[in-house]
Amino acid sequence: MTKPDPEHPNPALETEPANPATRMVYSVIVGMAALIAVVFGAGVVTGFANAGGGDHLPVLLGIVAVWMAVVFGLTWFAVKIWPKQGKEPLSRSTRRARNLLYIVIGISAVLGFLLGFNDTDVFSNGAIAVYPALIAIAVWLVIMPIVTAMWWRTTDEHDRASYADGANIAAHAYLFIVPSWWIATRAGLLPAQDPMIVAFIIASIWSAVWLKRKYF
Amino acid sequence: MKNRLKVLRAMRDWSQAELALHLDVSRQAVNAIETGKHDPSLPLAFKLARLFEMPIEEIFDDEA
Repeated sequence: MTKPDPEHPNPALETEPANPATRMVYSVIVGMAALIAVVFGAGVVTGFANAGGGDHLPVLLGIVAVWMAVVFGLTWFAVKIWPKQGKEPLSRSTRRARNLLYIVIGISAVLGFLLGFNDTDVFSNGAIAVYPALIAIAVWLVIMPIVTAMWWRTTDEHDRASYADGANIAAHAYLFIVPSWWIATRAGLLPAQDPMIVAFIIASIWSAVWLKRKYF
Repeated sequence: MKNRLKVLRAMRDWSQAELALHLDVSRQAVNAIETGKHDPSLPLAFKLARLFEMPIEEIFDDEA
């Protein structure tokens, strides 16, 4: 066997193959994410419209445009990192971190469906039943922070740095967006802020920066 | 920061994923270090140095 040339490494070494089980799990996750994206997207638009946003058609169209851009971006991202055929060795910390992320996605999906059963507009501000609300609050306030902390301690430093960069930019976006929106509302330019829409925008920015830093 | 990680890895005929296994990080982390997008922490730099059996300054070049 010839020794590889150090100055011109074999490009085949750069690939990250994956076994069929990984591809199947990935397909299920992408499918679930797409479903959640559609449900939540519909909830945002419907909730906004029901809250009087229909009176501000350009804003509503803007939200739809941003939402479509996010969906297209995530779709492109999913295709780009789609696992290749073969077997991919994963480090122990990476495997644990991924498993915890799958748990977070699963919990989010359950919460979405739990609330969805009570209200088709996930982001609306309408009344929902008490017990599903208490369960959702308990999960979001207790279980999710614990799982997130476990993930933070498990994942590698590059992932943590990417996540922290996303948090930094998202926090600044919050500081810039919320007061601007508040002033615009007082001037009659925008409807009143919906906290879940703000949270969704911030979470989207955070995730986009995190994924961009990690994978590109 | 510029480094010789890609060359050192190729000399051992390791893929990025295999090096990631040795370091207990993700393949993306190895790729980010190789391309200079992520500067490793001191503990990870020492881990690399021990793995390739050479001083840190022979792997990383902070003056480039």
